[in-house]
Amino acid sequence: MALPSPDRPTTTADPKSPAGVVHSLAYTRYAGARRSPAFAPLVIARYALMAQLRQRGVKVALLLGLVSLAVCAAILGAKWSLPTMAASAGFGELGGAGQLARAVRDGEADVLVWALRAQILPTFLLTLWCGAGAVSADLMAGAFQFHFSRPVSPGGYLAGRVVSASGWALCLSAVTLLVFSVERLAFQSTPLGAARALGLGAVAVLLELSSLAAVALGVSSLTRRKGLAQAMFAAIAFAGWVLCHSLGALLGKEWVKSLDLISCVDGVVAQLNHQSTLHGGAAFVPALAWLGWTAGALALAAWQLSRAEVNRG
Amino acid sequence: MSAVLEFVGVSKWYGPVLGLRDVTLQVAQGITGLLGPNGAGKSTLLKCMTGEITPSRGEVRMFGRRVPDPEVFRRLGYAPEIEVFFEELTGREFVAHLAELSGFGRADADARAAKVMQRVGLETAMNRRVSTYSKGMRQRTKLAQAILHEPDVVLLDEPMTGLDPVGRAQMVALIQSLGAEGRTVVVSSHILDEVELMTREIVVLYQGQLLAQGDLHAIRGLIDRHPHHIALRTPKPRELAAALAREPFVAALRFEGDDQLMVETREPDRCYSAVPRLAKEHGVPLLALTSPDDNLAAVFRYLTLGARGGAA
Repeated sequence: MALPSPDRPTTTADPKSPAGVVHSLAYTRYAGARRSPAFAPLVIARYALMAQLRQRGVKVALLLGLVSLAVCAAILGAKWSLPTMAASAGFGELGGAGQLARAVRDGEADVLVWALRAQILPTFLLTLWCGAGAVSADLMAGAFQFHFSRPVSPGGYLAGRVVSASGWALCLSAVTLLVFSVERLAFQSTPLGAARALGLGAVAVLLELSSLAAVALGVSSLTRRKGLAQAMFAAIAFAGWVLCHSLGALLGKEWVKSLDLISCVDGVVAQLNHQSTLHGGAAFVPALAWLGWTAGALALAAWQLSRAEVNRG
Repeated sequence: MSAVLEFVGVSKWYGPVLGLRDVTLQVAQGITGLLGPNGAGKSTLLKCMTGEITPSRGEVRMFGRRVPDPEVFRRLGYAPEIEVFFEELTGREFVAHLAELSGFGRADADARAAKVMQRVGLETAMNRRVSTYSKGMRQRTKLAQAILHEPDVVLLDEPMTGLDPVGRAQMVALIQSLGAEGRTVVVSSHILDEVELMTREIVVLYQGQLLAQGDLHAIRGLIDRHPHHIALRTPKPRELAAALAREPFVAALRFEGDDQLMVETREPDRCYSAVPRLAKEHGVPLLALTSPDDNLAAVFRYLTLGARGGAA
C-alpha cells in the first residue's frame, strides 16, 4: 500500500519554454526495491561477526581452537593407527577382522566426542565473548535505538544475535569436524561411515552451540553490565556442572548428572553414539534438559527484548 | 499544510515516573525545534515517534499511520543521543550496516554510505573505526545514518552536543538544508539559541507536558513581559549603577557582592548597547556582561511562574 507523500516544492520544468526552467531542489524519496525485513537477522549477524573478528579476545580464542584442533588431530591419528596396525598383524584375543570392525565403530564415535572435546574451551570462550556480552553491550549503548527505528523486530534482532553469538564457534567446530572426518577416512573408515560420523557430529555441534548461544543471550538480556552477564554465563556453565554432578553422585542418580548446560549435550551425544548409560524414562532427560535450557533462555531473551524500553527508562 | 506527525493524548509512565503527560500536538513539514530542559521528555517523545517506546496511553501517527509500522520506519531517519556505538566498525561500515537494515542491498548500501559520509564532511575519516572518532565526528556519523536512506522524516536528538563552534555551524547548515529539501525535521535541544538558528517553529516540553508550541518569536514575546536580568561585573559597581539609574530602560538595580551589579530591564537590546557606552563615558572598567536568564531554564521559569499566577 502506497503511503501519502508529504508536500514538497513542485518542479516547473518545460524544456520548450523560451523563458527558462525552474528546477526543484526538493529531495527525491527512494522509490526503488527494498529487501524484506526477513534479511535483517542476516545483516545483524554479518556485521556483528565482522566486528567480533576485530576483537583480540575472539582472535585469541580462534587461535586456541586451531592449536587444539592440531593437537587433537595428532592424538586421534595415533589412537586410530595403533588398532589398525594391531588388527592387521593379527594380535589380541579377537581375530584381526573383529578387532578392526570394533576399532572402526569406536573410531567413528570418537569423531563426535572429540569434535566437541577438542573445542569445548574455545567454544565456551567464543560464546562468552560474542554472546554473553552482546545484548548487554547493546542495552548499555542504547543500540536498540538504531535497530528498532528501522524495520527490525525484536525477534529478528534476537535471531541475528543467536547467529552472531555462535558464528565463529560454529566455523571452528565445523572445521574440526571436517578434519577429523577426513582423517578418519584416511585411516580406517569407509566414505559412508565417515559421512555418518560427520552428519552426527554436525548435529552434536549444532545442539551444543545453540544451547550455549541461547543461554549466553538469555543472561545477557538480564543486565546492561557486560562483565556481569559474562560472569553469570560462566557460573551457569561451571557451577551448574559441579552442582549437577555432585547431586548425581550424592543421590546415586545418573540422570541428574545430565541436567546441566554442558552435560545435557554430552548425554545426547552419548545416545547418538549408542553409548548412553541412561535407560527407560531417564533416557529422555538429556534431550529434555537441552530443550529446557535452549527454549527457556531464548524465551527469556525475547521477553526482555520486548520490554527493553522499560530497561532504558 | 497537513501534519506529518501527530500525537493524540500521549502519556508515558516509566513505572511511577511520568515521562509524558497527555501530549497532543501536530508537527508539519519543515524544521521543528523540540525544546526542554534535561528530563523534560524530549527523548521520550522522539522514541515514541520511532516506536522504541510504546505510549502508556494515546497514539502516535506518522503519515496517518499508527506507529510502530515497518512501512513508516522505512521513511524515518533517527539520530539518537547516544555516543557509544559499534566501536569495532568503521564509520562507513556502520552507516552501510544500518542502510542494509533499512532494506538496501549490500552494494547499494555501501555506495550510499560513502556518499552520505561525504555529505556530512567525513570523507577522509569514513574508513577509520568509530572508536577513533571524536564526539563531533560521532554526531556527524549519526546524522549520516539518519539521512542515508532518503527519509521523509528526520528525528535528531541533541545533534549539537559535543560539537565545536565550527562543527555547530556546519551542523546547523546541514539541518537547514534538510528542511529546505522539503523533509520534516524534528531537532531536540535544550539550548534555545541553537534552535533559533534553524527554525522558528518550536515545541516546548516541561516535566513531560506540552508547555508551548508555535512560532519562536511569538513565545519569546510572551516572555518579554518579564524583566530580563543582566549581570555586570566591575570594580566600581556603584559608579556604574549611578549612571544606569538615569536610563529609562532600567527597571531595577541590585548589588550582588563587591563587584557585581544586577540590572533588570524590559528592553534588553537597548540595555546591551547602552551599558558599554555608559561604562566608557564614566570611566568604569567593565569586566563581564552576562545574562543569567537568557536561557531556556529562565524561559520555563517565567512561563511556569506565569501559569501559577494565572491559576491563583
